[in-house]
Amino acid sequence: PRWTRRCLTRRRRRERWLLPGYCITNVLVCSSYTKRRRHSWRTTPLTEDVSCALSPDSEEPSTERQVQLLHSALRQCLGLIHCVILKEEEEWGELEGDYETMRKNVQLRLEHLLHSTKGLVETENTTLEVTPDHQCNEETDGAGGVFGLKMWTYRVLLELVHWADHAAQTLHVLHTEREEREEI
Amino acid sequence: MVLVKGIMMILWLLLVSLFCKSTQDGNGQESGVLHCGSQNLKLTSSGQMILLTWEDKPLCSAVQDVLIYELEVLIADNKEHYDEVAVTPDQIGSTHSWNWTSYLALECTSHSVRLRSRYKNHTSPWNQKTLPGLETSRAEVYPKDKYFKVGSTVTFCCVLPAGVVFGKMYLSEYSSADMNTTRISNQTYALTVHLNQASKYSCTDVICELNPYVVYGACAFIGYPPIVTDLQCETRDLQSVECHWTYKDSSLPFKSPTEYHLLESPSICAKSPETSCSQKVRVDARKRNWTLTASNSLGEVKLSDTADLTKRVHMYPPEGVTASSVNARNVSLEWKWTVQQYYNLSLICQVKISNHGENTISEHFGVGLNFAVLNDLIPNWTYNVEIRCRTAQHFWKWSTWSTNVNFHTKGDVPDVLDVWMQVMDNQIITIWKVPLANQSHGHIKDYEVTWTKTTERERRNRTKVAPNNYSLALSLDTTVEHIVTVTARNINGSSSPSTITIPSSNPDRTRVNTSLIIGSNGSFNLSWSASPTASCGYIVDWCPTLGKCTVEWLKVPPNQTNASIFSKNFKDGLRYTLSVYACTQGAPVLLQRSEGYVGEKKIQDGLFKSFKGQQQDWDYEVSWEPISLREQTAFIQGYVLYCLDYNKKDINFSTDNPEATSLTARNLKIGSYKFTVKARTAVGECGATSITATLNSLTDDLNLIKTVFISLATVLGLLSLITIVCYRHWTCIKETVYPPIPKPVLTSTGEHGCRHFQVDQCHYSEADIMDVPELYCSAGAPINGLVSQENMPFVFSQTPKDYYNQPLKKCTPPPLTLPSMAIPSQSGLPSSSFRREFPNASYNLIMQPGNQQSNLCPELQEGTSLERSSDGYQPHDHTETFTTNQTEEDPDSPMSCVSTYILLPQSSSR
Repeated sequence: PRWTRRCLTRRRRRERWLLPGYCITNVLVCSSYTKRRRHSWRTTPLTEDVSCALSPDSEEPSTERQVQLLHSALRQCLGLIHCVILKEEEEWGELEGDYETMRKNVQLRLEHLLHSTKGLVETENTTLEVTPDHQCNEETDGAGGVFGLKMWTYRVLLELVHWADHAAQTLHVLHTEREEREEI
Repeated sequence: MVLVKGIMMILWLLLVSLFCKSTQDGNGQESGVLHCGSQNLKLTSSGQMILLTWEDKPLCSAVQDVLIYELEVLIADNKEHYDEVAVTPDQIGSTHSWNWTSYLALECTSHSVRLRSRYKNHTSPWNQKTLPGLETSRAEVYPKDKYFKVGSTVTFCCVLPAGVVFGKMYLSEYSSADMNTTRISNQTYALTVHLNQASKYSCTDVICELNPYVVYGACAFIGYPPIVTDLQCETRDLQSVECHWTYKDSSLPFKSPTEYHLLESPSICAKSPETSCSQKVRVDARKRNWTLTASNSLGEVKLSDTADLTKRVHMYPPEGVTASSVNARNVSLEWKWTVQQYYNLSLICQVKISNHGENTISEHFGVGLNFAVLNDLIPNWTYNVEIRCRTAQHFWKWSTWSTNVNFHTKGDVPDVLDVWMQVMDNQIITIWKVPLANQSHGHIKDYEVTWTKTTERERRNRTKVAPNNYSLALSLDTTVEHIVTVTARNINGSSSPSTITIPSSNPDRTRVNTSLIIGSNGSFNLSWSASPTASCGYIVDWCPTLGKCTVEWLKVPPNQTNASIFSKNFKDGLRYTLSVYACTQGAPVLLQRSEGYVGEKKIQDGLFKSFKGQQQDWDYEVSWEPISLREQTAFIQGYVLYCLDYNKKDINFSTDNPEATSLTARNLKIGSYKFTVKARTAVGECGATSITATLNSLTDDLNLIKTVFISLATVLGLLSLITIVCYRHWTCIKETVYPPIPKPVLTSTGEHGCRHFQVDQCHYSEADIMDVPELYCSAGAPINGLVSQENMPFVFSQTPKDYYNQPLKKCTPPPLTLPSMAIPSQSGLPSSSFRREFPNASYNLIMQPGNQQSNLCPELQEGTSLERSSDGYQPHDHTETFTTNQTEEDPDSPMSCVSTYILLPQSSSR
């Protein structure tokens, strides 16, 4: 619920310009997780085993460059989502409940966000991919069993929330800059 | 020899000691320590169960009694369990085993088992084996991903690496009251939970929280063994058994679905959530047990059903149902069976015929039944049918319904029309009901109406009526009976004729009493006495009582003498006339007539027209026009008159006569009243109409009489007063009115003349005075509404006898110079009353002017004196005026004579 509140607050703040996929994705990530994977513990710190990491730049990149980097991170997140789906289906079987429907929606909207960001910043010199960027060959949580899989899924979703949030901010900046340029 | 003996002794001693030793060795014990013990101990585990195997030492073979092995289980060096295993002599030498299930997962901490033998109070030393707990670099919770039954008590442990501080353990979705945490060792904590609820989602999380906050955990699948009931087995194809059951969720849907096995077969027949499966069997006529085994990770359940499958045939529905022969009023249906054995069974099939929302079911029997004929269908009509069947013997279940089949019957001539008549304004209206779609059997092209007098049946008049008209008005001689026949025509031909005899308009025939009726629930419940003349039943028709209407009717069979009359046209508050006719071979006979409302409504206010009131003495009667039926939206049962005076006191007077047109409020008092009349109906008092009136003390006539009497009394009183006044001041009046008339003086001396006049003036006789001039007042318009009595001219008789011949030229007195105007003011009489009684009259005054007395009459000054003295009175036009020289003489002194008034002959002396 705390995440949901945060997501909703941000959505209200930015809903005028947001790309269609983002906030719904963000909200769904939060709500779906809290519904299905209900835990009573607090947010655990993000661990290095789940990360849509970016290569660090030496200096502050331009907004277009930031969006390209964002695109790359989201692509990795998409790969992780694919991985989550694979592992969950391996564990539970292929089910068709509400959770599975929401999970599919998150994946579709993330793909849509990737297409949107690609359209925004792709240039002749830069080609952006929208396919999942992950091999899905890592251990979820060692010998953690089903609980380990749940924890790992949770971390993937946290990562996705983080990058979706980051996307909202960066795209807003891009939108503002482009508007200013058009006015000039 | 002694040496030999000594050596022999030593040998014997040696032999004895050897025997003793060998005896000791044979018992396996040496000074309390048993030499028979265990060897080759092996400690293994399976889940949370530890399994120990061992063998006896070779020395144990000499044991001839039961050998006991004592076992102790130590969990984290704490003695947790003790057990004994008895080994009989015949078991010695074999491998022994023992197992025990720990309440803890073996990963949690070390589990040691030590073993020793005991024989006749001698025990062997302990022999120990240990299963070490898990050494981990990160915290772990055990057991992981395990299944637990709801209701069991389970211990979970959290194993910590060295240096990590334990926080707490708990299960998600559980309250702390159900949990108890204990410390097993430095690195192991245990949580014991009574599992009282199944996992809600995928699994229940068992959490180990560290300090600082980091969580680790495991999943626990908490659920139930299979919960399966209501097993029922049957056959559908007579070649296999099919079993059905009901299943309750065991809360283990993902990881461990319930598996079902039929008839102990190793192959899985079904998995949850399926609730049926079938298996090929030989179906014969004998009872058998049909067993279903349901199992999941938490247990196994067996159910069985005993049945003879030949008595439990649940057929498949018919396939390929077709309408093979479709006619106007019947149709043949055919179908096939997918199971060949059905053709050998005695079957019952139901055909459900759906007809515009109405369903009828017909049953058909036969061996291997695969056709059915449906009769009594409506021509030109679309039907929808579906079929289901079962075995005729040993009813078990109906098959499901087959797929729907539609067919449309062929057309036919229309049904006979429902005809009735209405006689209005010397016109006979033949009316018939619109043929419904299921009566017309095709598009109606037209209607044909023929009519003739009953006495001239051979002469038939004929006309056609368009298909959208449903009545025909005929101007016929209503004094004779007519026969009218109506037929409908469609593409298939004409309907059978429908005939009605129009009765002659003999008033005697239609004279029946009209009763009142009230409807209920939007309809009239009408009943009547049976009539022997009603050979073909009864007809009830109805219409609004007022205005033009299209009659509606209902035909009732002869054996029925009541009917519930309903029409979508019925309106509350509208009066209907309902007539019951006997249907005869000839003209219908009116039996009964009723008037009523299907629902009464309150009559609107202002019901009473020409509403007026009249005071009658101390009563007040209000009246109104008779109330027309059109105004009545409910039966009027009477009227109530409410009298509300200004003290808000309400009195009412009522009548139960609905025909009343007046009501009287009696014994009222003087004052204003508001009279309100309301009609009393079954739905309350309504139609209020009001009038406000003031009741006077008397009626107008009485007032008039009263006024007259008062006026007369006043006049009489005034006259009396005047008389009295005049009597008392007679002398003065006389002097004023009749001044001494000077005797004509011819030529005389001055001294005689004046004295003589003086004397005459003062000694006038009364008789002379009475001869006063007459004042004639012609009738004029009344002033201020007051009229002199009887319109008589006011007469003031003052005409002096002797002065008729006096000229009027100079002495014609103006009306206001009348003494009557001046005298009252002097004599104290109110002048105003006189002024009022005199109209603006013209006076025919005949008088001699000499009687005016200058000192009494007001001085008349033209234009000014009038205003002052007569209060607006305007005299007639005068060209000449009197001028009196007013003297200052004493009023009591004799009247002075003024020369200008009376012309005296001038003496020569003057």
